[in-house]
Amino acid sequence: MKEPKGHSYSFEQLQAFADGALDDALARDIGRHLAGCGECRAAVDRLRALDARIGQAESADAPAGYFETFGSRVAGRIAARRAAKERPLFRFPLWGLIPAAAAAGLVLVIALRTETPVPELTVRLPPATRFARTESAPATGLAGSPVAAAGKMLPAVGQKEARHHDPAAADAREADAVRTEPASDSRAKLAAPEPPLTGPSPAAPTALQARSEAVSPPAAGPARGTPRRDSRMAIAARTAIKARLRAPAEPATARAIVIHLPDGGAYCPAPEVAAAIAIELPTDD
Amino acid sequence: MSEQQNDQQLIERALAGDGPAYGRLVTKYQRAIYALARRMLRDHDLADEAAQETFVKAYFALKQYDSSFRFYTWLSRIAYNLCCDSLKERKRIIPLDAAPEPQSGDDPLEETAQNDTCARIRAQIDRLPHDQRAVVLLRADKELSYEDISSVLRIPMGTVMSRLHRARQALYGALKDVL
Repeated sequence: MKEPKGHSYSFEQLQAFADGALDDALARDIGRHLAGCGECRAAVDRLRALDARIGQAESADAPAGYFETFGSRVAGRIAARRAAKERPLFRFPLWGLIPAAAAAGLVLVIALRTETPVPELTVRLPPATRFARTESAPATGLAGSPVAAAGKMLPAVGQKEARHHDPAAADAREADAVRTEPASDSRAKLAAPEPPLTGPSPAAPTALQARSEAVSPPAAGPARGTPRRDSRMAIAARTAIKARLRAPAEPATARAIVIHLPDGGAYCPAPEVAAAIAIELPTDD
Repeated sequence: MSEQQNDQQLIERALAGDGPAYGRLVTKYQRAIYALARRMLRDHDLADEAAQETFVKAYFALKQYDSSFRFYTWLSRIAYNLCCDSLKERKRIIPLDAAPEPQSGDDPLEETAQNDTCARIRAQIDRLPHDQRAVVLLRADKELSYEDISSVLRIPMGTVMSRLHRARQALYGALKDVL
């Protein structure tokens, strides 16, 4: 293309003029120049002709109907890409589960060896309290809850000892103190007046001790002989705790209860019983 | 409301999870982006792929969009880069010296003189150096200003003008008889 030489404006300026890329002031100046300069005007005309030809040649027409589905195809790709991004980058083969299982086992062992702190309420029953073998005591359980998971007899008075359950001593004490009866609804009975027990009523506790130290709740034991024992212990504990709750600042939210028996033993009610005592008593009062 | 403000509003709605808002942006720019890709790639299927991919990439990168640029300029940059990738891939698969020359059509009898001229112009554009060809093709539909082209190619505006000048000089010399 022949460029105009020795003119006021460069070829690039003329090109920008032809492309409409100049600011208004410069465009006006060049327009005035073109009116009097045939060479520059011819150059601009050639540029415009070439541009028009290029535009014509490069008009990229799509096949008929192409754009009607373009948007939905893009949407489909976006959905597929998004789904692929949300998918895990790789999947574990089966052997990959081995280290995962090992890690899970380790976590389980650590968890089992770690005691979860639970608020504890310790109740000391009066020395004269006895749990009779008579039939006069009602057979009780917990309403709506199987009392198969029973509490544990604990061999000693001291709390540290109480945490270490001795099954043999517990069995002996249990055989002496408790009769086995089938579980029955006891929620109402728990709320009802204390059942007749042989010996002095436990309604007047002589020693109550509330402690804030944490112990693990007792593990669930065998069902043998437990419903009635639990219910009687619960009733005794309930009475004692009720009295204690009348005093301020008692841990009414206690979930683990240790009942110190008159004979020097200690008893942890089953978790259900402990929970029932701790939860129901404040509202029952 | 200006075009840029309208686009910005649609982008904000799309970012907020409004799918149809992004659909409107696709509808608005699909022809221009397809045309750009078609010019760059000279093939419908490749252009279709690049055009769709442009909108998919733009969708997932919408948060990175700088509203100081026109949305179409941003889309054009994505499309241009995808086309360059596609061209590189094609060159890798089909060596340049083995690539067939652009042809006007299968049956010359059906080709009009106009089409012959257009094919010749396209062939001349394809013979330009890549940097000049890119500037000519980005400028072809006049949708992109010099400033937009400098943003797409990430080169100074003066370089855009000089590349365009050199490309036009070469094209004019080769196509003088049809202009």
